[in-house]
Amino acid sequence: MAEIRLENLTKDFGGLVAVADLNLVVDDGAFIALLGPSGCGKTTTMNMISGLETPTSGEIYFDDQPVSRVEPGRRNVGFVFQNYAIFTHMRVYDNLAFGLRVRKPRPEKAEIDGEVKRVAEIVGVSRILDRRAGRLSVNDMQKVALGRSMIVNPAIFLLDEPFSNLDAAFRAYMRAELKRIQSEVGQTMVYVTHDQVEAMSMADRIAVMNLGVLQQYGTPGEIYDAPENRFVAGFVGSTQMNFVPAALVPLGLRGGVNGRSLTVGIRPESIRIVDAGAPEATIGARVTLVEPLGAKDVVHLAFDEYDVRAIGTPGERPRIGENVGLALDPGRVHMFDDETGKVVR
Amino acid sequence: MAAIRLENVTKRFGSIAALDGVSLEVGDGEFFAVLGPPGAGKTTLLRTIVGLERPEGGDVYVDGERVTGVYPGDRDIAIMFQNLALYPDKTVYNNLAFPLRQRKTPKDEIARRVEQTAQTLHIGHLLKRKPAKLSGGERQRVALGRVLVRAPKAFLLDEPLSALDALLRLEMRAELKRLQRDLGRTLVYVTHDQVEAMTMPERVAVLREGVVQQVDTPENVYHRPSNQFVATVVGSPPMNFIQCRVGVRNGVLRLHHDLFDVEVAAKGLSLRQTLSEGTRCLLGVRPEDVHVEPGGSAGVPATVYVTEPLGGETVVDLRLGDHLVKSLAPPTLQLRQDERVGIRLDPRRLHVFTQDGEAVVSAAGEDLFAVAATVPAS
Amino acid sequence: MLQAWPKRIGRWLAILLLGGCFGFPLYWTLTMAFKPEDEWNPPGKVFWWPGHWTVSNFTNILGIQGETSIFATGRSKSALTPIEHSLIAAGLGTLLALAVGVFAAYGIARFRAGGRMLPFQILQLRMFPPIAIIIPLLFMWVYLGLWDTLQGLIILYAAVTFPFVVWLMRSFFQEVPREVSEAAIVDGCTQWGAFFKAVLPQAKGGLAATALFVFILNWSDFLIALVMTQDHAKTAPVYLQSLQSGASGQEYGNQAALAMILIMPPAIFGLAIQRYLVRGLTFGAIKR
Repeated sequence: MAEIRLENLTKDFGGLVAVADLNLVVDDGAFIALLGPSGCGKTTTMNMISGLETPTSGEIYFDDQPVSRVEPGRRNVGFVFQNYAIFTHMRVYDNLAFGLRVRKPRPEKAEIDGEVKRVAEIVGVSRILDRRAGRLSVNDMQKVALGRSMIVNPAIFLLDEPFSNLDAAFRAYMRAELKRIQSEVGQTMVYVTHDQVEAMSMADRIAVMNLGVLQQYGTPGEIYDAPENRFVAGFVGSTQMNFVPAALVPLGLRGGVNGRSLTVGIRPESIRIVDAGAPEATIGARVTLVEPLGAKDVVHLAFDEYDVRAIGTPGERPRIGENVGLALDPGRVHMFDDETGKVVR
Repeated sequence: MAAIRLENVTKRFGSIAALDGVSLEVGDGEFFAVLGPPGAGKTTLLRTIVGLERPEGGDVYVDGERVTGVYPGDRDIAIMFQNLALYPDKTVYNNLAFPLRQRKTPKDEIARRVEQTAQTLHIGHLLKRKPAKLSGGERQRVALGRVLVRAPKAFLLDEPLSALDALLRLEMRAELKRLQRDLGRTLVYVTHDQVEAMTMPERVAVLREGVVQQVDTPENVYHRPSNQFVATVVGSPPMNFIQCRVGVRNGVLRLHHDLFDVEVAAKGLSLRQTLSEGTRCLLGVRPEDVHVEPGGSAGVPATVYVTEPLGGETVVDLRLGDHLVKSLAPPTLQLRQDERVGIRLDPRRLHVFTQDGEAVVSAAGEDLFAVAATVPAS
Repeated sequence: MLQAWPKRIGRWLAILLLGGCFGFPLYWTLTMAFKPEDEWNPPGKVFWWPGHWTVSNFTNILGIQGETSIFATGRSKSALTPIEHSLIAAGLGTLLALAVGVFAAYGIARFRAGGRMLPFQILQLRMFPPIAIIIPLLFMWVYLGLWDTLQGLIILYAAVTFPFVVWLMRSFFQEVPREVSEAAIVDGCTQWGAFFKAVLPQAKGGLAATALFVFILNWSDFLIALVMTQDHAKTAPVYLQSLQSGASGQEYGNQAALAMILIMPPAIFGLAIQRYLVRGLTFGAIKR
């Protein structure tokens, strides 16, 4: 339970700047996600928070205590990695108890027992405490790994894509569970991922990074509905946002264009497919492809030379080659400056 | 004539059957996908088709000809491995040219085909480089090119997009689909990603531990899954399963749950044969067909367990009695943890499975069921 | 971060000590090679540095100049022939070991030829110290007419280093993902074709390293050559040992000179294949 503050944090690997001047505050008890494509600096940032890397410049504070010179073992952080670091030859019980047993002074047996049972209940392994960890399914192993890092009650939890090796159904299950656990236990959690669905579904706030630079830090709602630049807008969202030059879209742009080249961004779900000549149609396009996703369709359309995606209902599927109208919700249109990538309001 | 046909193919590794009596037919020019979790036998299936594995039982046919014992190089099928297996010591050009050189293709023909393939895949500027100097996406394309350049009877792709990051994957998906359409060749595509399996092929085969579960269009697999496994494997978040008891009251077949009842309409009378009174069954309903009504005054009572906002929609995990049920709600709906709500199950989208997971019926849009809450929500 | 003073001194001392131990013999041999006879081992004095630099030792052993000392009878006058024998025996022995071992290694690595135990059985061949079986081998070789012949030596060198080739190349071949050879097969190669065109180019580095290692082993062999040769196939290490006479005892200077010459072939070989070695060591251009 600690607040994390990163001030001007920079990591330079001899020419390759992995993290550039990062400033971030994680509130005590918050669940935040570091989100970005591979190479964006999220893992390096997490390694600096944990102590596995020393920053080139800048400082990290846990509850106002500078920690960048403190050894990882002394920082009171818990880890969960991608490859669930558990002892396969021990029972689940012993795996969980391990962190407590190596403490000096060693706690009483009854105390250890109580803690193990408590954590086992939280992560959901109470029924398999006696099994050898090596014999568990991948899903259960990850639960044990989570429990192992929880039992020592670290002030801060660091998770590095812990669910990427699990099957899709279980991943969905663990996302909900982890979120629930975090809200009950109240530990500060920093979760690293490249999967925006994970970040969006679990985190209180998301720090989107690209090429070592923080792009935006906000709640999932803010990131999704009010992206600050084109990268964030394009990175978040199950079906990617559409980007079209502003000149092509007759929207009565408020404030004018001011001689700058702009790009319009609009999410597929904010586009409605209507008849070609209908009054609410902002632009016209031709259907090129329909991707059925079961609950909804992703309809690909050709607009000028651009591929635009819209969400359609399976019941009203247009035919390929058909010319239709697209009604764009003006309240959900974003505009980005072509040069800086920043949003223009 | 089917381009590829498997007849009762069995392949064992030690005592484990990686493929168990698999029979499949892939049409000429069809985009066919095989979907399954890791370990299902998908890679073994591809390797058996191309000839790198020899089945213990059954036969493989290509274009009507039995090829079960034929050497892989002679089957006129190309495979793209999951780990690409490019020739690291050869340039991109030589990687692409290698299969043609093996077939003693004349030099200028090789040059023409390599250039053309490179153009199609936008790697023409990389021909002189070696694989070590390419990015992940570029390597993927070279591996794809090596398969395409041969113009074989069929392409087999083993999870070709799984190692790419999200944005690149989206791009390549659309490109692959377009490519297959333009080339018109048979393509067998293996994946564990259900979005790929839903959006790309004409038909998909769901594989589990070496046994084919269902072969159908993605639509049918989604709306009429043949068993619980298939129902779970497609659709994200996965389908919910609620335990119910079969009962008859006033001559009407009903599925009982503590909190609600599902009445089977007259159309569904034939169900009586499969569902006998007193047995247990599973009611399947997808998250997008579970609708949340805040305030809890109407519908089946439930409490919010956790909410996962995804931006365009929100996944709401609900406690329904002793079940945890996921539902998809619009992003505007604001719900708090432990809040009481009412939920409405769309009766036209219910599925019924036996206790063992076999499908009994899927409503698939028809008026087979009516749902009523048994306990008034308060 | 500065470390404590005693720690640093201790480290430097250890480095100097180890360096000295390894470097001293080389230094001593090098200087000895250029010392005239009276400086080899004069009573009561040690020449740490040649007083008079001379190349007479080199010319002596190569038989260029006339004899300057009383030589033991029966010893050939020049080291050239033994050196030649060494080159042929070690060179061809290495080639033979590679020729058989590389294919065996591929069969074992790729196809589990011979079962799970074969690699260990092959390794067991090397668990015997050759000295334990050298006498029976001697009888066999005499019986077969291979004693004191270069052919006999080549066969023996190949047999003795064959297990190393198998073990080293096996692990290098295992590093090549099997899909690469399978891709070649699907592209139309036979198994042999796949091996030569797809797998072997990958293992070039490993092959170079193995070849060098085996060559050094064979080149510096003393025991086998001592027992198995006399006049006709004597190799350089044995010849070196015979550089002694009644008058001067061990001819240190001559021995040192010969030793310096004998360092060269492996060194040259190593330099020649160096670029392959580096690539062999940084192996791993495989997608995860």
